[in-house]
Amino acid sequence: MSFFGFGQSAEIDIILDGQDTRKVAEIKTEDGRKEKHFLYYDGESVVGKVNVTLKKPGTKLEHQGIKIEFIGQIELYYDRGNHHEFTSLVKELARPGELSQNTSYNFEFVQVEKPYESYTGTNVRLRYFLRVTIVKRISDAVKEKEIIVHTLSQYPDMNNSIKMEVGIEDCLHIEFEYNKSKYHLKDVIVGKIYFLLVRIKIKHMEIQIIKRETTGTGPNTFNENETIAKYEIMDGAPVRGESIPIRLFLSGYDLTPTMRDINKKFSVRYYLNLVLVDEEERRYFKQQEITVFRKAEKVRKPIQQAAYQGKHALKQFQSNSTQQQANSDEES
Amino acid sequence: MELPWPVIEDQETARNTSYNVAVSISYRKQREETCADYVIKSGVGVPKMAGVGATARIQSKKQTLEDAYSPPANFLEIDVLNAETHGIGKKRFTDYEVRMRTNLPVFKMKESSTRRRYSDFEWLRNELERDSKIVVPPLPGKALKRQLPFRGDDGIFEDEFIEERRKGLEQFVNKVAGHPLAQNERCLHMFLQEPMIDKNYVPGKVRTT
Amino acid sequence: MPNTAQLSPQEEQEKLLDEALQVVKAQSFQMKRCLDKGKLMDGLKHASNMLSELRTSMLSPKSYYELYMSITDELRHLEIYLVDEFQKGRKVADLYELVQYAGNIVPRLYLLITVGVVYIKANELSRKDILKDLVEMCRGVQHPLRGLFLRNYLLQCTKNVLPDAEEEVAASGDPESGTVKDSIDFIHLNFAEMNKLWVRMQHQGHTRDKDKREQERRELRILVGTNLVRLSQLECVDMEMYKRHILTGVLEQTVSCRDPIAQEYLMECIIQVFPDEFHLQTLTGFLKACADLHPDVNVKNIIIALIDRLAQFANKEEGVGIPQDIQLFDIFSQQISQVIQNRPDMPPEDIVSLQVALINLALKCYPDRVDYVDKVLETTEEIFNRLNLDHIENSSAVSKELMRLMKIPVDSYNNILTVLQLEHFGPLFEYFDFAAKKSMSSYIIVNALDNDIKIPSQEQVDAILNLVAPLVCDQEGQPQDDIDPEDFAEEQGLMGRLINLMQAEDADQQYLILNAARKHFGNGGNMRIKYTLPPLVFAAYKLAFKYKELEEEDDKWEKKCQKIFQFCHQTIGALIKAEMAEVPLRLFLQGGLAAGEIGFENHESVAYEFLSQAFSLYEDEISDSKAQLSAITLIIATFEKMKCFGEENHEPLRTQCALAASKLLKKPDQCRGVATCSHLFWSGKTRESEGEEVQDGKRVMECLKKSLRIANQCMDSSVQVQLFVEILNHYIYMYEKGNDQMTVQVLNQLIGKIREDLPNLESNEETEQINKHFQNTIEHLRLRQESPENDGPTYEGLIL
Repeated sequence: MSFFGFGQSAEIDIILDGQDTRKVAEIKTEDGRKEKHFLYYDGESVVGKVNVTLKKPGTKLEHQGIKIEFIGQIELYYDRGNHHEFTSLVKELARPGELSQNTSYNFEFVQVEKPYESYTGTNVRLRYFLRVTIVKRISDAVKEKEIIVHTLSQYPDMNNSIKMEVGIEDCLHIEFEYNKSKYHLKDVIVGKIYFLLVRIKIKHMEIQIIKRETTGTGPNTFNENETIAKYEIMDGAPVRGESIPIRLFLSGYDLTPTMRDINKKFSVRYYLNLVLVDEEERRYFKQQEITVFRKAEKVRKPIQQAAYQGKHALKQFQSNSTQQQANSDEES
Repeated sequence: MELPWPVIEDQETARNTSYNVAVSISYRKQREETCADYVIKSGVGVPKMAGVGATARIQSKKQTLEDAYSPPANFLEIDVLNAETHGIGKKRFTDYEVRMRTNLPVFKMKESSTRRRYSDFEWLRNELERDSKIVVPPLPGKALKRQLPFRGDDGIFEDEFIEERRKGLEQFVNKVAGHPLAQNERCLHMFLQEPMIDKNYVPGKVRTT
Repeated sequence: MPNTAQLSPQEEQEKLLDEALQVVKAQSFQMKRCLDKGKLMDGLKHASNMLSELRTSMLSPKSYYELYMSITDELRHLEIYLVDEFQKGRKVADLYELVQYAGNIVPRLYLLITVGVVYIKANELSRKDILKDLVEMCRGVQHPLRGLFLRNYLLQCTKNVLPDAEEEVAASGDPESGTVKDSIDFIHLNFAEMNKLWVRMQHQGHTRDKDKREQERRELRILVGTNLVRLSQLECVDMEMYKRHILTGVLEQTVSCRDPIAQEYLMECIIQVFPDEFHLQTLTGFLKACADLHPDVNVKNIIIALIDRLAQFANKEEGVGIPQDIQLFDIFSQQISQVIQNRPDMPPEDIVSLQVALINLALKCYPDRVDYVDKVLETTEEIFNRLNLDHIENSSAVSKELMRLMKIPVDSYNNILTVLQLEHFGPLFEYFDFAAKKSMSSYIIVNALDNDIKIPSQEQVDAILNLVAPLVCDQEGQPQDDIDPEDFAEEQGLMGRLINLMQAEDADQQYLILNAARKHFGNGGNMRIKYTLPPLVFAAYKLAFKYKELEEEDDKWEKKCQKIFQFCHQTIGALIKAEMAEVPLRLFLQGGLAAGEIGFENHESVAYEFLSQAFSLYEDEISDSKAQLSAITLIIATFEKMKCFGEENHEPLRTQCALAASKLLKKPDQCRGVATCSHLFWSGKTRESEGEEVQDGKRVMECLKKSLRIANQCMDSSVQVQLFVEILNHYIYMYEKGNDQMTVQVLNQLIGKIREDLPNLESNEETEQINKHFQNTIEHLRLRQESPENDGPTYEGLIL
């Protein structure tokens, strides 16, 4: 019996099954550090055990019940009070009673839906975690364990290039081309800029990757732009007919997949910003949205793939036949 | 395709512009950014690739020899020189030769030379501020102090001062004349290429002939 | 704010460069340290920092070059490290991709090139693919200076890894290695891009700095030229490949760029780096390109450089020479015409320079083809006609060039006769102005003289003398400035010597020559004929002797001789009209002597006439007493030799001599003259005496006595004694010759007189001379006395 009623009388540990085989992923925290957690995919069961260790052996721990929850929630930083739980599952581990010794409880959340990817952003955070609660009279003992969820996409069937001729009348005409409109996280943006008219004195040209995090709706929409990358693609002034190659490796940057209207709460979108700077530091730009996705890893058997991806992934992309095709031009 | 005159929009509108159809130029005044949104054509398809993996490239269009070796189409050079002080005593004023060489089609004359004084530059600046919505760079100072009486030196007619001012004016006019949006302003053309500035002119835009 | 001292632009540059080099030093040190520890990523970071210095716009090309050299030196370490790692199997995965993460393009591309070469050396990816990728990705640097150096780095790094095989060598499974065609494409693309950037440099910066920019561009030209050098180093390139895949492309870039600096450099580069065998087969294309070059390009220098090279090639000792099927001269001749036509503003001197080059080509490669040389002259004439050039000024460039041109065949053949064969040589002469024509004429004559070229026909004589007309006679419209007498003498001296070269094989031909020559020289005016007619006369005399030799073969020889002497008489007459006296006198004497010796029909009359003419001249024209003495002495001496006169003619001539001698103004001269005359009476020969001496002893004594009498009339005792001694010598001569009128008494008398007078003379140098003379004479007598000669008279009774 705890005299003071507060402080931990028991230590709770959540041990996930298959820790030695399960992959670990990294995610940023709110203060910019990086944390590592186990990686789960949509449809996977979350299985493990909870160890309750009594701090003072010999003392008894009275409780009103022990439960474990699996939660997926969206937190808007400007609205801390309201968390939006989009997934909430609970399992009872122990009925109200008394613990006299260290006890271990197994749990299994079967084929849990994890519809969205974990995300830590500037104004919003989406996270998944397990929460064990030992309900007590005065204060509950709570332990949380984060997991990271990645959503995988199949290589898209239709992945048209982006090609446009744009400009400023009588001053600058360019034709830019990016080889795809949808890029995976380890992809390469291959493109070219072709100059049709150059009547300004260009000093250099760069491509920027801009991440736009949109939170809120209607009149309360708030956009947060972050320049993730600045990549110089041309030094000096071209003339008409010049073709400048672009080859930008996305693996060099910290990107997340494009997230559209996640739970109607936020979006994360990416734009390629082509910027030309003239000798008087005036800038001329053209923004173009691209879709970024997380590619499924190379797997030999379709069955294993299903195990990973479950039924909720692949919303936009499809069939087995294209899967096999996509497998062959994976990841290299 | 005849396009309506570009409408200057502010930051908010720019963000919401639909890229595939817009024919407007968005200009973010504070950051001196111009969005090249005048879309001539867009297309979809599969590009012709060369190389693979780490050597992947899109096949480039061959540049004609003509284009490769022609002088650049962006030649614009303005000199402010030959400061001359006219008149005597209190009625003096200094003017400068403003000499321009260019191959930009928007300017009617490829070589021009006019004489302008400081107040002419001020006039230009004001016109541009009012009409063009570009960030107009600053002029070198008015040097009012120098115009007070009982100075030990020759005030605004001191050689050193004139030289300083000349440099500043040269910087100013080059920066302005190189701005795509300023190039369409009637006042700029008049300033650079007509012998006299007609302060009663009708402000307007100039198109490339 | 502290006012930093104003640095000169030079100092500013030095400071900036120094600062940059400091960074390079620091970063390269760090880089090497990291590599030593095996920390590649960190090493690359430092390499990238180092390379960032090359992003600058503040350095002049010269300073940038130094910085570039310093940095690329350090990159060598990185390359070696990586090659080593790869060889040891410790390759870093995806290194080619990794270096592309660098945000700034200049460091990124330098690293990419370095890694790319490592990959090629380690056979990682397809060599062909990497090379193509590198040359394409470099497009990202459009700044001319930075772009040029970057692509230069590409070229230098890939120097030893360019594929140089005709067929793909790779075994299956190995990445593609490429063929020599791939190398050509690679280098060509790099070259085209570099040339583009190089040309673009001139548009950078302010108009006022145009000259400085041009200078800077010239400093950088080797960067562009290295591409051509690399092309020339590919071993598997044969003629076909060169023609189709290399030259066409390079010429296309060169002509299209329309930049004089680039064009001039690149054309000369092509000539320098590719072998002559290739040039021979691609001449037409190359020269056509020359015709299309920018008007400011000095095309002539390019063509001349090419011609010189090919001429050298043709003359190489162990070389193969020019292939038969290549009409080298024709090709050049045609194409050069085209070039000239395409460039209406080409200054005439440049046109002529091209002709000079052509003529050199003809002479060096086809030395027997005189027609080629003539063709060049013909072309030049046509061009001058077309340009309406006329009497071009001596000081002008075109005149100098034309002179250069015309001297070439002269110097090359060293034979004026060959030069005369050139139909267009003479006509081209007409384009010179007077001064130049004269100069050229002298040059030609000197050449002929130096080479001792005999002129054997009248036509050739006419041709030459027509050619060098300014030297022969006054020309219409020639400037009336004063001529330097020394120069004039020298010039006419040449003409005189020229006459000696006029030697026909055939005597008749020789006569025609002399006649023709006289026609020309006769028009030369009084100043000139003094120099030119005398040699002509001598040549005529020589010819007369020749005819004498031919007396057996030519039955008309005597008539011909007469004609010759007539010719000479006329000629000498012309000299007299020109107010000469001494030379005509000598010429007449010489003629007389010659006539006498040759002995043709009527020779005595001719000889007599000549001698009379000499006398007339003596009497009428020679007034200076010294000249008179020499003249009369000469006449006497000449006459003394002659044996052709009969007594009828000999006698009056003898008498004339004596008379003339005695009429000399000065006593001493008289004395001497008369004494000399005495010999006429002794050793003179007449026809009657049949070549034997007349030996009129009495008349001899009369002369000598008279001579003595005159001596006695001399007022100057010193001179008198001198004369006595001289007369004594005459006496002794006669005595020893056996003149019986000359007795010992006479000798003794004179000896005595001399002995008497000698001591009374003032002692000075002159007296000493006289004394010496006397003593010698006495000595001679003494000797004779002691040991008389066999046939000689005794000196019995001689008092010494």
